[in-house]
Formats: sequence, structure tokens, C-alpha cells
Amino acid sequence: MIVELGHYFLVLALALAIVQSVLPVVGARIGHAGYMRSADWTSVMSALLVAGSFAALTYAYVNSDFSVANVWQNSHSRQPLLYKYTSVWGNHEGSLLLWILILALFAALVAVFGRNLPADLRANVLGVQAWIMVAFLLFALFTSNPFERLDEPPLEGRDLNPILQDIGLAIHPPLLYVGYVGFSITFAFAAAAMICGRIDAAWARWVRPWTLLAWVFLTAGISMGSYWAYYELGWGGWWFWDPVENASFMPWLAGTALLHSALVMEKREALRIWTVLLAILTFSMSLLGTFLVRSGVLTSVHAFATDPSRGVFILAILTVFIGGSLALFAARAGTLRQGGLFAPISREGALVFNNLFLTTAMATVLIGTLYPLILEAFGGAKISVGPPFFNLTFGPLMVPLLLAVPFGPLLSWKRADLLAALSRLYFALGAAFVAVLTVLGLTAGGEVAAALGIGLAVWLMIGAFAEVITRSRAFSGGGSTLRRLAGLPGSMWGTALAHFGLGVTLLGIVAVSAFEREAIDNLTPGGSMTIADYQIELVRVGPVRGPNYVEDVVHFQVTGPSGNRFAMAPSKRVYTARTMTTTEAAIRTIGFSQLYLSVGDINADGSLVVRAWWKYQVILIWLGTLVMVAGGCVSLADRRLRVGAPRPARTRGKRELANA
Amino acid sequence: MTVMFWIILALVTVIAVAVVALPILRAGQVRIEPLDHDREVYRARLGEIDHDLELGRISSAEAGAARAEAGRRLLALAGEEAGASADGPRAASGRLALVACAIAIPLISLGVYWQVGAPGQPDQPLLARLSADPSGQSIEALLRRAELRLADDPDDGRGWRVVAPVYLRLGRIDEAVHAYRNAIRTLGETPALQTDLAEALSIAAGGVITQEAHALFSAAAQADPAALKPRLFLAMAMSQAGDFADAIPAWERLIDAAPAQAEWLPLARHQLEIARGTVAGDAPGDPTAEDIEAAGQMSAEDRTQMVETMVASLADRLAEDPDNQAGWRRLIRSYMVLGRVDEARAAIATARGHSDGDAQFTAYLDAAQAELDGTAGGGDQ
Repeated sequence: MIVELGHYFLVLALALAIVQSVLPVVGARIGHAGYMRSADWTSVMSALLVAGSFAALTYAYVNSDFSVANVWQNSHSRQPLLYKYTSVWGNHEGSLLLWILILALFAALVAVFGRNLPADLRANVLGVQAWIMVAFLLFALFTSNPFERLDEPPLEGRDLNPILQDIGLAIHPPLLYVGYVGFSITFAFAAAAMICGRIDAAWARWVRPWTLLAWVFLTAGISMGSYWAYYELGWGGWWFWDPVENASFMPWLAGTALLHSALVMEKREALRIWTVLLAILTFSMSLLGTFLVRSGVLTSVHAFATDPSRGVFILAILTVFIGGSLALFAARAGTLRQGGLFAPISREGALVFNNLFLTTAMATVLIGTLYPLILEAFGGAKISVGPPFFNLTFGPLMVPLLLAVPFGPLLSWKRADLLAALSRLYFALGAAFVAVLTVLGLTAGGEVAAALGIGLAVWLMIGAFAEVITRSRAFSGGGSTLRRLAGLPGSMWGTALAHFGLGVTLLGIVAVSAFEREAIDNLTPGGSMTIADYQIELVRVGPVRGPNYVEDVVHFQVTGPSGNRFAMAPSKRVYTARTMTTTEAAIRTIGFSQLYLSVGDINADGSLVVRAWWKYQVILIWLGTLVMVAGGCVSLADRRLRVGAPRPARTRGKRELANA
Repeated sequence: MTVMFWIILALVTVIAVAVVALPILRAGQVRIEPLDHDREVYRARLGEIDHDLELGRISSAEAGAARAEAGRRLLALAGEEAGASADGPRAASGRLALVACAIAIPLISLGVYWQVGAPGQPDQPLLARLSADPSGQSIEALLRRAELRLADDPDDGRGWRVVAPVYLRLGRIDEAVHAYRNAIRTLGETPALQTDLAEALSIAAGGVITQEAHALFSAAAQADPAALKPRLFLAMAMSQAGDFADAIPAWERLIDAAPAQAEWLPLARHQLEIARGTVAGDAPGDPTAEDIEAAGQMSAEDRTQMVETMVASLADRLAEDPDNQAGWRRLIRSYMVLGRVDEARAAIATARGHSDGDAQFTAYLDAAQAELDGTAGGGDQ
């Protein structure tokens, strides 16, 4: 009964979404408060229904109800309980339900916390969000229904794809989806703004917390995904420029640009067309990513769906939403007035610079991702565009952007003095020079690129706090420095933290790229190898029986440079239901660095190939992203973001304004 | 359960309609000036400018300019409002929309659900299915239950011994072999288990008694000389190997020792005849109607094995003596009856090479070929 109720809830959510996609929009058009208000109610109701539906599917997974086809295809009765939960979104249909749940949740959040929005804008935002809901609900119900039943249920499921049976999968997709799908709400805001004709500073202010929320989750999701790939796929890479990774990275680049350009629009009412376009572009990238992953044009860990009819359906969604919003944009763009003027060297100018580089970077990633697909579609050779392409295009684009980051917050609006800003960055510049010289000294001048990279990272990290220090007059003495620091607005701290995090990530990337060490050897029990002052001895190989797998665990004894000893045990697993082999790496964290061991197949003579990496300062990559996320959260917590709603009882704000 | 399902379904649908209807019915009670919200934003902006000035983020001149800019936008808003106030919100009754929604929501949800759903199909959690009354359960369900227990305790030798013959009966031969091996691993080597494992191995090998099976049968026969089954298979192995001189006494001893109602007795007698006939120089004996009839009284796996064994030995003999046209006819016919189409085709092809221009034999081969093609064609439809 529960499964079927869950199915019905989903269908009922479709009916409500259809109503919600018409009624509030009409209400805003004819000025009917009731029609508009209904969107708040239906949004909350839809969110509850989809949540109920999701809970029903989860119930089926946890209880191994193999009469649900989706459960049978993607889980196993012997799975640990955690993976029964994660199996729910570890497949195409279930993850699509998660997609819809997040769409519905964002609409409900706007309905509940969007009281400060004018009624017509809110009604239109929710109406547009309902259009997206309708599209995805139809897609789910008619091409990828997670509630499809089997008349004669089998007695055992086919198990979840083994490499997805991991704690990382418990966290990474939901985070990523909140971010990915969260940008739907900024899209809805953009479309609603164009429908209402309210493309102004107030709009930019209203949309900012939502953009920030989606961005925080997307950042965390990409970071988690990267860490998961790093330790689960067993070859120690943290970013592969895989099309599916790019699919989440492109909305991130566009979303980051949006976050910055919305600032200009809010403060100066400039860049309005561009900001709205970015909001559309960001969600378009999310949709494109969904298309790439689910249409079967890509083969990857993430590409669960290979049914062409699904691809066509998503392509239709993609075309309708991107085409429709661009048409709306074309119709409205002409009515926009000129915004505030500014000089090239100014805060606005810096943010335009940021946007220019971020969107160009996004374009290169887009080209690198789509070019092989397009070439193949037109009968060309099957090529793959790999890291060399991205390193040659994306890398150089980032350097000027990163160099400019510390300047941005120090420039004043309209017109600024670059030299004055630089004078506040002298100490950051000095620290960067010291860093470069130190690295050159330590490597005897052998690693110039790495030294410059580390210098850039230090410049970013120290420079990020220049504004905070300047504003609080931290070094001007006086006991009130701390008080002034605490009194700084949250958004300023948020900016500082996010930029600092960027520097930390860069430091990790440069350090691990330049100073990573790798060793490969064929070892038999008793044999040993050395990497970066660590002596690794293979002790023995022992079979272990897991709940739904069997594995050969290889036990190593590692001796560190100071004589400290510890054990590491990577393994080779065979998941019995799919007879699929996975490599489980063993990782030991030492400071910010990691020792990473993975093993190959065991040969007939008992020897096996051991790969060992010394991942120098690798953790910084993800710690940096966490700092960025923290920055986003601090900024989001800034109470100034929450513009109050007008109180209807106390009318006539005009009088108060006259007094102000 | 089903009634409950429909009640909840109806309830939720009613709530969904109410959720749309209530705000429409309550419309007009609260009114907000459309531009009040914008004004809030600019008021907040003015507050921020003051705060920034206090912190020293901006100079007083910058603050003045920023205030002026926010003020200009507020004035522009006031102008907009003056233009817009003439066209204020109309309080349309909304009755039409109300009725439309009340009809559309249940119509869409029930209609779509009817298409894609399985109304009333109960949940079937695995645990509940497995712990249901065993008497009503399928053999597969019972087997699955035993498998899950064995996965938890792979050293339960008695469990393995119980499931092994079940696998055999279900035709899951490899799993039966695996189960017998596990039973021997935990319970130790007993003649009975060795015999069963060897039998499963022979079935897995398509009726041929493999080297491993032979060793197991021998060990079992040695450990328990009174057991007839290993000896039966050993005799069969001799016949298969063409070692008829040794097979004859083996079969004779078996027939002497056999209880009168032993179902394999006809098989043993027939094999003895073949062995004697071959030693005497007669044409190779082959499965006859009587053999098949005798096989009908055996258990399924014995029967399959017997037929397979005979066909295999016939094929072996034809490989040595390919000019035996009658033998080819029987082999081809046997393959066709067993449904081993590919082997039948191969046999026809080989037989053609030995037809020596015999028109009648060629015609037979053509007919067989046509029959095979017809079957294959029919299978496609």
C-alpha cells in the first residue's frame, strides 16, 4: 500500500504543479490576490507530496521490496542498511525523484520564506518553478518511473553498482543536487522578473540569498564528488575533466559569475541584462548536464540511463526552457533602461573582469565537453578531449582572474584608485614573494612554475583578508580592534573566507601537482618498496567476507621517516551479485598530505602490483572548498540580506520615507 | 488494506483541491501595495549606507552620492506607482477557476495514476515474503531462504547437502556441484556425497563421466563396495570409453546384485547387450525404442543422463567409423529430438561427406535439413 500511495502522491504532485503553473501567473496578470496566493499553498503541498513519495520509495528500498522494479534493479537484500538508503538515489529513476524533490523544496522555501517578495513576483517565480516541475514530473512518470511494479517479484535484487556503494555517495549526490537544481530557482526568478517587468536592483537583492544557497551546496557537492572519485576509483586523481564532472562544474562557473554580477546590479543597477542572462545560462548548464548524464550520449559512472527516448525528452525540456527564456529575454531586453555608470577601474569594473574570465572559462569547458560529442554525432572520429586541453585553456584563463581577486573588494564603487588598493596589499605581495623565494630555495630553483603557483596561492590567501584588516583598522592600534572586527558585516567576512578558501584550494592543487610522488612495484609477501621516506612492506594477503562481497585484503606495514609504524590495508573486492571487481584504496593522512596505496590483481605466483602515491598537501584542495562553503554560509547568515517584508497593517511607507 | 488505500487516496486528493480553493475563497482579505516591497529594499539600502559610513568603508562624499542614487530610484518608483494605481488589483470572484481546479486535479491525478499505477498492489517486503508460511511457498522461495542462511553460515554442511539435490532438480547444475563440494568440505568425504558430487559433475559435463567424476566414483565404490550407484556409473564409464571387455563383467555383476525393481535395470541390460554385441563384432548398438521406454520410468535426471550418454557414445563411434549411414541417421534424429539443433546441423554436414553418392541417404539428409530449417524459421515467428 505504501509504495502505491507514494506513486499516487507523485501523480497528485503533477496535477498540483499543472494548476500552479497556470493559476498564479494568471493571477499576477489580472491582479487576483487569491490566484497568486494559491501558489504558496500548492508549493508547500507539492513539496509534502513529493517528500512522501520519496519516503515511500525509500521504504521500499529499506525493506527490499523487489516488486518495485527499480528496487530490484538497484539493490540487494544483503546490502548494509546505509547503502539501502543511498541506493534510492544511486540510479536514474531514484535520482530523478530526488531532482523533483529538490525542485519542490525550493519552491516551498520561496513560498514560506519569500514573504519579502512582492506578491506578483513571488507568484510568477512559483509559477515558473511549477513549469519546471511539470516537465520533470512528466519525464519521471512516463519515461523513468521509479514506482514501476513487477507482477512476479524476484527473490533477490541485482545490487547497486558496487563503486557507488560508498559513504561518499551518501553525501555527494544530495549536496550536488541541491546546488544543481537550486539554480532552477534563480532561473525562475529571472523568468518571473521578465514576466513582471521588474528587472531592477530590488530584484537582484531578492535573488541573492537563493543564488548563494544554491552555490554553497553546489560547491560542497562538487568537492565531495571530487574526494569520492579520489579515494574510490583507486587511481588517486582528484579531478579528471570527465564530461560528467564538467557538467557540474559549468553551472558552478556560471553561478559564481552570477553571484558577482548580481552584486553590481543590486548596488548600482548596472549589468541588468547580463545578470538575467547569467541566471538563465546557469540553469541551462544544469539542464545540459542532466541531458549529458541521462541521455546515454556519455558513458560514465554517472551515466545510468541509456534509453534514447529519455534523451529526446530531456532535449525537448532543454530546448523549451532555454529557448523560451531567451525569447522572453529578447522581448524584454529592449525595455531596460541604462543602469548606473562606472569607470573601468572600479568595483563594478573588477566584477565585470571576474565575469568575463569566469564565463570564458565556462565556454572553454563547454567546448571541451561538447566538441567530441558533436564530432562523433556528425560521423567524425571518436576523440576524447582530455586534461591537456583543459590545462592549456582553463589554466591560463584562471591566472589573471586569481591575480585580480584580492583587488576586487578593495576597490570602491563607480571610480577607484588602483594604487591605493595595491598599497593595502603590500604585505600580501611581500608574503607571496617570500613564498616564491622559499620554494625556489628548497627545490634549488628546480620548480619555477610550482614556486609561482604557490606564490599566487599565498597572495590570494593573505590578500583575501586585506579588506577585513583595512576596515577594522586592525593595525592602527587601539583596544577596540576586536570589537570592530566583530562589527563587520557578515557578507564582508563571507567574501574574505571564500577568497581565502580559493587560495587554499589553489595551494593544494599546485603542491600536489608539483610534489606528488608515485611508485609502482610488483611485490610478494615480505617484499617492500619505498616512497617519500616511507618504507612499505607487504605483510600478507587475506580473504575477507563482506555482507555482499568477498575481498582480498592486502596488509601492509608502513614505517615512517621518524621510525613510526602503522598498518595500511587496501583491497580488491568482488561484488557477488554483479561479479564486479572494485579496488579499495588505503589512505593514511599525515598532516595535510596523504599516503595512498592501491593494489592490482593477485598473480598466480602470489605477487601483486602495488601502486603507492605520496599526495603532498592534497587535503588542502578540499579543505579550501570547505572554507569557501563556510564563507558562503557566513554571507548567507548576514541579516542584512534579509530585507524585511512590508507590514500590511501599518500602511503608508511613504510618510516614513519622507522622514528618512 | 485496499480499502485503507482508497480512503487515504481520496483524503489526499480532497486536501489537494482544498489547498487550491482556500486561498481563492479568502482572496481580498489582505492587500499589499505592490510597490511597498521595493520601498523596503531601498530603505534597507539607506540603512546599509549609514552602516558603511560608520565603519569607514565609504567616505561621507560617497555615502552622499549613494544616498542620492537610492533616493532617485525611490522617486522613480513613486512615479510608477502613480501611473499604476489607476489599475489596481481587481477582486475577480474566481469561482470559475475554483470549479475548474476542483475538476482538473482529481481528473488528472486519477487519470494518470490509472495509466501508470498498479492500484491496490500490496507491498511485498522481502522479509515478509520469506517468513510467510513455508507450505504455500514456491521451491525457489524456500531455496532462497536456505541460501540466505548459508551465506551467513557457509560451514553449515547439512544445509549444503539439503540444497544440492534441489539445485539438481531445478537444472541449476553448477550450483549443485558447488553445494556438494561445500558439503564435502564441511562434512568430510562420505561415499554417498562423493557419488552425488560425481553424478552432478557428469550431468554438468553433458553425460560424460569426467576424470574427476571417475576418481570420485572409484573412491566411493572402494569405501562402500555394497553401494550400486558408483558401480553403475563406473560400468557406464567403461562402455563410454569403449572398454567393452571390462564393461561386460561389470554390467553382469551389477545386474546380479540389482534388486528386481531397480529402475536402471533395463538400462544396464541394454548396455550389456551392446557391449556383448560389439565384442562379437556386430554393428554398434544405439538407443532403441526400448531404451527410451525404459528411460521413461527413470527419474528425470537419470533419463536425461542416459540419453545423453548414449548419444555421446554413438557420436564417438561414428567419429571412428564414419561410413555407418544407419548410425548417422540415428544420431541426427537423436539430436533433433533433443533439440540440439547446431549439433544436428554439424552432423548432417559431416554425414554428407560420407554419403558416397547414395541418393536415398542424401535425400534423407536433405529432408532432415529442411525440417531443421523449418523449425528454426517457425521459431522466429
